[in-house]
Amino acid sequence: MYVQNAPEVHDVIVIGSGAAGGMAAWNLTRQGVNVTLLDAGTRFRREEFWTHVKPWQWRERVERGMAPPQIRLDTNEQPYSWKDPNYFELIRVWGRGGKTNIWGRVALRYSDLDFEGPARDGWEIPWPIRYKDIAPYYDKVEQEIGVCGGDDDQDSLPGSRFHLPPAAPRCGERLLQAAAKRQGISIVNQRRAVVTKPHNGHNPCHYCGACGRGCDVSAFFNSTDYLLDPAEKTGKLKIIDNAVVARILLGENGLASGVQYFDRYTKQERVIRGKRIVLGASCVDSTRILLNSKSAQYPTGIGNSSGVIGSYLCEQVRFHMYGFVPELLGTKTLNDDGIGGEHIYMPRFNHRDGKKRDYLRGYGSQFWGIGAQPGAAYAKQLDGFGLDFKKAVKRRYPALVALHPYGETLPRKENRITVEGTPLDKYGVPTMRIEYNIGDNEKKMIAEMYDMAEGVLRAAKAEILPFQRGWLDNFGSAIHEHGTCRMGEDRRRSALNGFNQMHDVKNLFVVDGSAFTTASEKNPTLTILALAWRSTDYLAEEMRKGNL
Amino acid sequence: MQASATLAVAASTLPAQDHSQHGLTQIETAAPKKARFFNKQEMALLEQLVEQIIPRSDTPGAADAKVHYFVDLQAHTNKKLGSQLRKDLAWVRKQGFAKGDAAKQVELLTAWSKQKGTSSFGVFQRLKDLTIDGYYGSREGLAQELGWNANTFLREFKGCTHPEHGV
Repeated sequence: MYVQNAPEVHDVIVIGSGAAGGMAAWNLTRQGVNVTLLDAGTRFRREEFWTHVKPWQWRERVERGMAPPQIRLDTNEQPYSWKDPNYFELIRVWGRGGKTNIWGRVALRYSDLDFEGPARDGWEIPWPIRYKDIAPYYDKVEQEIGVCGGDDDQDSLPGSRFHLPPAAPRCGERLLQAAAKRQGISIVNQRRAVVTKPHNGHNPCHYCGACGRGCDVSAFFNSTDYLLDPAEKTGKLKIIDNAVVARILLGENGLASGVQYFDRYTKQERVIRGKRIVLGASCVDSTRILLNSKSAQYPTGIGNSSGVIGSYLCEQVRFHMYGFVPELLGTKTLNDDGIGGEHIYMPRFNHRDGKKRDYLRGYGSQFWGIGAQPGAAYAKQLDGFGLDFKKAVKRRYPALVALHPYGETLPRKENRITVEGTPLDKYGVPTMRIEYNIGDNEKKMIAEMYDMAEGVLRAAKAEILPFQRGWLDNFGSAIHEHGTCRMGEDRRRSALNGFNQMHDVKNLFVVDGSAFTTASEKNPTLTILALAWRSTDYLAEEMRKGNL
Repeated sequence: MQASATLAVAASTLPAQDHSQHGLTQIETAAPKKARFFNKQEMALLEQLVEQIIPRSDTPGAADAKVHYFVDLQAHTNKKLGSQLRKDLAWVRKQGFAKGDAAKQVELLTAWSKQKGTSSFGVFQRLKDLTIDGYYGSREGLAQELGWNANTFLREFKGCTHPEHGV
């Protein structure tokens, strides 16, 4: 195949356009650095999102052969495998903004409870950073993108004086908040990257609740509108569309020298040269790229002298529990859309209630699915049929409440991504295999999470929908993959330093979730943004000093 | 971006309203329904079944909401489900459901609904689940019966206004 090698050597190549890559490109270009960004797709057109299509209109459209814009990557286009029976649900978005087009928008700060976790309990390596290192960047990210929430500070969940006004809680949420309080558990305002009043030129939320289909007015943070469009206005950013990166190339000097990629549709192979490379293609795709970047010096992947790249994949364990609160049975149906998802959050509390645990780390809880939903799937769990059944469904409809706890999964060597012996993709590049399971620590934590959820619903005197204790959502379905290119002080046990810079290859930075030392119980995007900002501040400074 | 900006301006000046006029007019009215998978006889039986599961009251029932056509579309797009449902319908017919009067139909459904763990219950639950998906996702079931009036433009989200619900 003819390989087109452009002679130009780019100052910085950024791979990926989501939270990580978008932040890197934005922060570097605004400091005068020229950036060439490789995006595996193209821009999603928000005019085409089905944001305001009602359920029955949706059905009509589908009947007519229409389909909403394909935002998620079709697995058939880029297959991966898993080790049976542990299916790993991998959700990827290739195209401008990546998963930030449809993300859950939960924007929680990590605390020192998270950053100090491994140092305290000794499970795997410690984080190289602490809250004080990242706090100024949380401040900056929140001011830039707009995060609504509370200043209700807890040791497990820092508040912020930069939060926009929180979304008002729904009836069911306030009832659960009161019930949890009777159990000694505090529930605070949810922090979400939703603009609840005009902010930095971004439109405010209009409370249509359809965020998961993409926002038609860009009222929640997405990398395209909030980072890449402003970055392009500097004139310093060049974006190459449909560039599916296969490998990072190693130069004779031991530094990364460029990137090999394939045009997504023509499959033409191309190579571009660069002086510095910032990888932010999401945890699993970045890992695939690193592991496939083999050379004589790094036979198991670029920068992998430690052997940790690909291992220590960690996510979160989660489930749902539903109930109906008596105060709302048979009441008038309200428009409960709000900012989409829950307006409240239960921060981790298991470190401070005085009870001893036989597991490490902790869990928190989200609450999505409270109030009037665009459907009544719970009806499948009610007995009977006919007029009485119809009445029973209607009576419960306004009273639906839900808990959705998230627990940390420990990093383990055997939970890993590999590219050995797997089939080739359509570009001739090895695909990924994911081996993933949970252990005793998670199982013990899950048992307590079930007790907690049931306890809160009982305290609310709710009718609890039948559940199977121990049941979990698919592995991977939290879409919070971490840990496969982790940062740490010890270069024998980590791939990156505390600035997301490779120990082995100094001009290569990895700024997405793969860099996390542990998963925490929290949603990672705000921390990815803060770390990517901090990392590229460091990169820009090193460039100014002439070190890179 | 310009289209988005226009919508945002409209949002702040218009009261909460059905948003369907924005570009959706062409497909706002439901097309006449046509069965794609089941034959006429099967469709007639399906219509009786969904209507017994969620009957008309002071609000529309599942037959009013054309749930049998929804089930037909599911069968059409998922052939494995389709052939299962075809078998289910043949079995239901054999039990004398189609020829029975309303009381007989209720009697049969009641019996199946109580035989948890049996294949009769399996048939019942499959039809019931599809009826629930179809009905409570329709305008009749979701908006008219349950009172859902969301996915709109609001200038403000008030949340809970009941002091008695609070801490």
